[in-house]
Parts: sequence; structure tokens; C-alpha cells
Amino acid sequence: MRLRISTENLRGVYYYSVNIHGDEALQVLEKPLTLSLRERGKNGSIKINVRSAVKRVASNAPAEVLEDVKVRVEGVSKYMLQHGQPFAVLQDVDLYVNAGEFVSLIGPSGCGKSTLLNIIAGLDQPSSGMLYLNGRRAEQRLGTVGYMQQKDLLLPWRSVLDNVILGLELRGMSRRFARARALALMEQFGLKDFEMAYPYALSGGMRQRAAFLRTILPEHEVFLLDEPFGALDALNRAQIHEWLLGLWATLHKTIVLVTHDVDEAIFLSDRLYVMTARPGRVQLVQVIDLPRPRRLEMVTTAHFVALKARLLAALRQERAAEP
Amino acid sequence: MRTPDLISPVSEQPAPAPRAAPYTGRLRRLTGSWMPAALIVLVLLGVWESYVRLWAVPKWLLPAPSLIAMTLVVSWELLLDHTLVTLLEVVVGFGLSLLGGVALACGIAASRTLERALYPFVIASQMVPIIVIAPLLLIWVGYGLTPKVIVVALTAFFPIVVNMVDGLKSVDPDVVNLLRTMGASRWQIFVKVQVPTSLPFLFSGLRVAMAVSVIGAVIGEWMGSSQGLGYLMIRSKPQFLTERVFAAIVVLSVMGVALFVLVGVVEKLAIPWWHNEQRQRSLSQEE
Amino acid sequence: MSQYPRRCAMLWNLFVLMLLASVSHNVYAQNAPLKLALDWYPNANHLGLFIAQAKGYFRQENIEVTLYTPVDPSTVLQTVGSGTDDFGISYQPDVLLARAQGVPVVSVAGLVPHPLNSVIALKSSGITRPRDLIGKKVGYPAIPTNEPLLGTMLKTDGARGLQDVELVNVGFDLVPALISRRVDAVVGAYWTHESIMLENQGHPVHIMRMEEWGVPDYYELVLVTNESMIKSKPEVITRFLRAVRRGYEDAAQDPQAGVDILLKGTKAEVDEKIERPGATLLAPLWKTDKTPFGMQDAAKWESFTRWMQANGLLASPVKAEDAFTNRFHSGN
Repeated sequence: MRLRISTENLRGVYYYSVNIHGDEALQVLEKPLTLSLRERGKNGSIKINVRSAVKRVASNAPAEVLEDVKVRVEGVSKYMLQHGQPFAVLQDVDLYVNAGEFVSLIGPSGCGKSTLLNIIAGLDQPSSGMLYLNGRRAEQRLGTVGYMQQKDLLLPWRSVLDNVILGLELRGMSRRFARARALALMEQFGLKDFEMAYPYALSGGMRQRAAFLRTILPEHEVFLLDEPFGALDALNRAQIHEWLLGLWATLHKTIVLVTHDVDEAIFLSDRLYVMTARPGRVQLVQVIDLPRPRRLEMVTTAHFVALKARLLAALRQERAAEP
Repeated sequence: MRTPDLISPVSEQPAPAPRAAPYTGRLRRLTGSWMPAALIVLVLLGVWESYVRLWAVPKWLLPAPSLIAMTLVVSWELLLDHTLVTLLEVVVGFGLSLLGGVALACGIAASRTLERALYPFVIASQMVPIIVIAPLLLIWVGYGLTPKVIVVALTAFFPIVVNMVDGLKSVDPDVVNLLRTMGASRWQIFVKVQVPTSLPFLFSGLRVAMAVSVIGAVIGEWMGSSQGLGYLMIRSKPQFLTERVFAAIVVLSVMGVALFVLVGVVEKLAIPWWHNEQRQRSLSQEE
Repeated sequence: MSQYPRRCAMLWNLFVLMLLASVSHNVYAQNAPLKLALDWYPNANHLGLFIAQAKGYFRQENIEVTLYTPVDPSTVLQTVGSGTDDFGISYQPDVLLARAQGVPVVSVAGLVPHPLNSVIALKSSGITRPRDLIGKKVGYPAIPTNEPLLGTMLKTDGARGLQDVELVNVGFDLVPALISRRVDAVVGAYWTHESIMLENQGHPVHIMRMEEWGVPDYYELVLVTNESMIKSKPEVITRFLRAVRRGYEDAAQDPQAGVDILLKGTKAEVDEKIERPGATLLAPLWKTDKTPFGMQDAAKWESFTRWMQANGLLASPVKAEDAFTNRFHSGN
């Protein structure tokens, strides 16, 4: 297991601690660091905490906390009934997402990717296994993560502005306040001049961006994206990828993306999980060590293509294995 | 050199044609939609009038449109008095039905138990013929305005409840899930999603309910009343004042249509997004 | 009377009117049966007709008659006037109203020579005369003629008139209205029908007869036909009336046998418990010593026409002698 801790977008001084078998050592992080650690089994688990301490340089920038693993899925299985017979949608899925990471899930259709996201979001509960959010087991997870679906699901009776503030409104924020917050971001999301428009007047790409704004406004730590760009054509998608990465770079959120598109997965993420066909299980974990910030031109580099080839092979294998 | 007369200087070029006043466009659109119907009505009236005149049909049998029109003008005060009574019955009965129906629909949509318990009664309310119920109502409730209002409420009830329930249930489950992931409570989902989704359905039901309310009011009046257009009709008939009966029918029709249109106008004001979306959808289909 | 389905037909009736306008110009086939529209569902008032039917009196006169109750009985004069029906049973006041509006109907026989319409109150209410109605509620069906009839009764008994009572339109359900005490008395109820209904249900009643309280005596039920029938088929009318007379003479002799025939011949709702006592009450009215059954008293027509005129009920002046005729009554 390789862990990369980058100071690229950080300001000030950060400490990191390595906890091995209960011993904690505090070190100062002054430049990018790559740790190579061997993964241990359950009894001797390795916990890496990166904490931020008071900055040596006084600045007005808020101390950014990169906490522990944001999402941890341990041995989660999900069974459903069909014609009275139980069948496994997910089988012993293990994955984790670190804070600030962009992780993708790809796999053949029906492998339970969406089910997994539903479970993480709290719409569903695992039949067996554990789920940790922010290091804690949370039975009531609804409303703790941002979840963007395939369909934009903008409410047709609300203006675009009122749609994007939906998340804030549901949490009790006053509409006036929420609108002010949203208005500040409308331009960045390419929705300037469309605040008072209604969803029917927006193009597909704009609707997705509005849905995305709705998702991020409540400022959750973790965002789940379920094939959010599936409905867009290639051109729009490329644009939106760049835009998304730019946004993510400023927001520093943890993102889990589910997608069919291998290119998209590779381009956007830090790590990638390939899932098997039903019952879904993690087949392959691939670290995407392409440099950040990602550029569109990377798509044709040899490294990218090699990664893609590897992943496609894995997927093809899966498809061959499908009944 | 003098400019030839044929070539007029630029300043004398004819002014550009004045832009058509926006009113003309709107007016044309309005009359355009009414024109075919109006023409048909005029033709039918013409046929009716000539038939009555050519065959000398006695007025107690079938009055001519001209006679009916004259009756409308001559007896306008009488007609107005009775119209207001019927209108009151319709509006109050409809209003009661609206409040009760919407409340009941919310209950039915929210709880399976309530649905199983109450829905059969809703259906029964429609199946029982008003003609049988109305006289009984007169005995139970008395002979004032109340039994008519109840009759109207009963006739309007069914379409309102059924449509509202359908609307509340037609909510996209994906939207509900979305709101759940945002931490919405059941009440928030109800108010912010279910209710707006159900509004187009509700208005659809209101249009039907309004139409049958007018009929209900008239039937209620036939059963036993001392005022109203229905009463006027049954009073004029034994006196062979068929033209007055027809005049009452005309007024009733106009009232019914006006109320129907009114519901449509309220709908456009209440759910403007619905029509825009419909229009958008049809436009994209045309592409 | 108190049957519900009458109401169903009001709108249907108006549609029928338009149809009638066209039908009225059809020449009916000579051999088609004569149609007689009853004023209500078959009841004791119609005994003579059903007897004539069952005992073959019509057949003996070489005519065939169809007795039926129209879907909306209030259209009888219109259907007869337009020629759709050949004969009809109607009421003297209505005939006069119709003639004032130009409907060409003529009464050819009087079936019930006195008003059956009366004011009825429960005995327990203590109302015995019109004056007792002052300040009380009187229920009536929405038939306009009931109002001046009641008004005359009140004035005769010293009251000011209709303004002294509260008139409540109770539709045709007079009996339930009275029993439920929603009204203190009803007008428009027959003392041969509603009164029996009330007594059968255990409510003794007090009856105030019209002709006893200042209303000129009039024919409750008359047999009408239209002017074109009179012009083109007078002999048919004569034969028809002969058969009808024989039927009613039999009814007067043995009303209960007549009710038996009525029960057998009709599929409709004939309530034996009402019709048997009703027939007994009606039989004396049919017995005529001097004149043949059905012969109409001109004085009754004159006086009642005058009364209607005085009460402003007639839209245009009506000559009583045009409204009825005894021409078709052959001597015994």
C-alpha cells in the first residue's frame, strides 16, 4: 500500500503521525512524502493519521484538516429478494476512501455500484458487514453525505436558484440566507443569468451543473456521484470534467464517483475500484498516479492508455465471466 | 449637377412600416382560438331559428333562439336573482368539497390503513345517485341552502379526491430518495415535493368537479327549493314558459363555462411551471 | 304524489321537446294504436281505463289503446298538444294554463269531478282549518297553481292570504316532509292518496278540502285530446269515450274488482294498501245519476276560469268554452 501525502495545495505546517501497533510517532511534514507500508491483516492494522496543528506561519487561511479515512466499507454484503429467493447484489465489498481523495468505482452494469452508493448514503442498509463514515459507525447516515444521482432531479416548480438551495433549506437554513450563498457560486457553475429561470429552460449540461451545485452547497465532507455525466455528450463531458476537477481542487472534498466510462474514471480519480458483475465484489484496486492537476492532453499519453488497457482487460474478463 | 428626380434623397425614403401593435397579435391569437367554436354556434342557432320559423313550431314546444334571447333581456333581473343563488350553492359546495377532499386525499396518500378504510367510501359517494340522496337530504337537513350545498359537495368530492390522491402518489421515487439523502423528514418531503407534484392533478380534478358541481346544484334545486335556476326551470315548465326554461339553461351553461374557465385561469396562476413544461415538452417532440 | 323517478326526466324532457317538434308533423298511421299518456303511475284514478282495456271495451269499439306513463308526466299536455300522444290525463287548471299559452288541447271528459288536491295536516298538529295555518310552514310541490289555491283558502277563512304562511317547496315528497315535522301542513296532496299513505304509516290526518274553502269546484282529472284530433277523427273520440265510460261505470259499481284488474294489468308499483282504500273513496265520485259519466259541467269551467283569471294565472285570456267540449259524449 502506498500512501501519498501531498502539500501542494496546503499552507502552513502539518504534522503527521504514524500509528503502528499502537505506537504513535509525530513527524513534521514539510514536503511531499510518499510512505510505503505493507498492509497488515485485521489484527495489526495500520492507521495513518494526518493532523494539522497550529500553523507556524500565521495566516488567515483556515486550518484545513485532513482527517482519517472518510469512508470505510468493510465486508459489506447486500441481499435482495427476487421471486422469494434471496440473491446477493453485493458480496464482501471492501473499500475505503481517504479524506480529500477522488475515488471511482467502475464495473459492468448490475454489479451493484449504485446499491453500494445507496448504502453509503443511508438509503439502504447492508445485510452484513460494517460501514464507517468519518471513522464512526453511523446507523442514521441520511443527510450526512452529498449524493448526486444520474438524473438531475431538479424540481420543475422551483426556479434554478430555489432548486440549488434545496439541501440548505432542508437543513433549516432560511431561504434568504441560502439564496445569498448560492448566488455567490452561480457564476462559477456557469449558471449566471439563469437564477430565476425554471429547469425546463436549461440545457442538459446546465441542469447537471445545477444539480451539482445543489449537492455541494450543504458542504458535506463526502460526495457520492452516481454516473452524473451519463446523459451528456462527449464534448460536454470533457468540459465538465475539467470544470469538476477545478472545483474539487478548491473544495478539497472527498468524492466517490460511480461511472461506466473508463476514461472518465481514470481522468478524474486518484484511485479506482473495479467491481465484478453481480454479486458485486472488488476485483481490482488501481492507483491512478497521473500528475495533478490533470490536463485533457493526458488522455492520449502512454501511461493513460496503459492504465486504460489494464482496466478494460479487467472489465472484459468480467464480462466474459457474466452468465 | 441636379439629382435626377427618380432617385429620391435618402431622407425622403419611405419610413419603415410601423410595427404591428402587439395588441393585434394577442387579439388575433385570442379570437383565433374562439373563432371556430363561435362560428359553429352561430350556424346552429341559425338552423334552429329558421326551423322554428319555417315550420311554425309553437313556442311552448320549442322556442326560437330570438325568443330566448328576448327573454334573457326582458327577465334579466329575475334570472340574475336566481343565478346568484345557484352560484352561491355551487361556490360554497365546491369550496367545502375542495377543503375536505384535499384533506382526505392527503390522509389517504399518507397512510395505507386510511386508504383501505376510506377509499371505498369515496367511491361509494360517487356511485349513489344524487337523485335518490337529495330528497333524503331534504328531510334530514331541511329545505334551506344547506341540502343543495351538500349535494354539490357530494358531486364534486369524488373527482377532487381521486385526482389528488393520484397526484400525491405520482411523486417520482427518485426525487423522494434524493431528498432523503439530504436528510429531509417525511413532512418536508410531503410539503416540498408531494404537494407541488400533486397540484396539476388536483387542478385536473377541480375542472371536472366544477362542471359537475353546477349540475349537482341544479339537481339539488329540483328536489326542493324556492330559489335558484333549477327552481326557476321547474316552475316555468308547468306554466308552459318554455322560453324561460331555455333562458335558464343558457344562463346555467354560461355560468358553468365561466367557472370552468376560471379554474383554468387559477391553474395558470398557481402552477405556471406546469404549462411551460408542457409547452417545452411538446416543442421538443416537434423537433 | 311521492314517487322519485319523476325528477330524472327534466333534462330528458327538454331534449324530447326538440324531438317532438319534428315528430309533431308526422302523420300517424291509421291503424296504429291510440296512445294515452297517463298523468302518473297507474293508480285508482285510472281504474276505468284499465277495466276498459281488460274487459275489451276498446276492442269492441274497434280501437286499440296504449296506456302508458310518460317518463316525465308533466309533459302530458305538451305531448298531446303536439300530436305525439292522442289522449292524455291532465288537470283542469293545467289545461287552462296550457290554452293561455296557445297549446291546442281540449278536455273531452271529466274523470274526477272534484278537487283531489287538498291541504293535509297531522291530527296531532291541531290544525283543522286554513286559519290555523297562519304563521306556520306549508309544504308544496313546485307546482305554481298550488299557491293561489292555498291563498284563496286562507282568505276565505279570514286570513290575509299567502303572506301569512311560509311556503316551503318540498318537491314531491309531501308525506316525508309532513311526518318529519319539517312542515306543519302540505298542499298539493290528494285526499285519496297522500292521506291514505299517512294513515297507513300511523299518522292520522285532518283534511281541508279546496271546494269547502272558497275555491270554485273544479275537475281534478280530465281526459284531453288535441284540436287536430277533434278535427280529423271525431268519431274515434266518440267511440273511445264510450268505452271509457263503460269502464268507469264498472269501476263505480265494483271498485275493488277494478283494483284487482289494475294489479294484474300493470307491472308498475301499485301499492294495494293505498289503492284499495283510494278506490273506495273515489267510487262515489264516479257515480253519476243524471248525466253520463264524463260529461262536463260548463259552470265549473266558467267559474274556475274566472278564478284563475282573477288570480293572474293566465298569461292570456282564455275562453272557457274553448277549453272543453262535451260533443263526443253519445247518449246512453
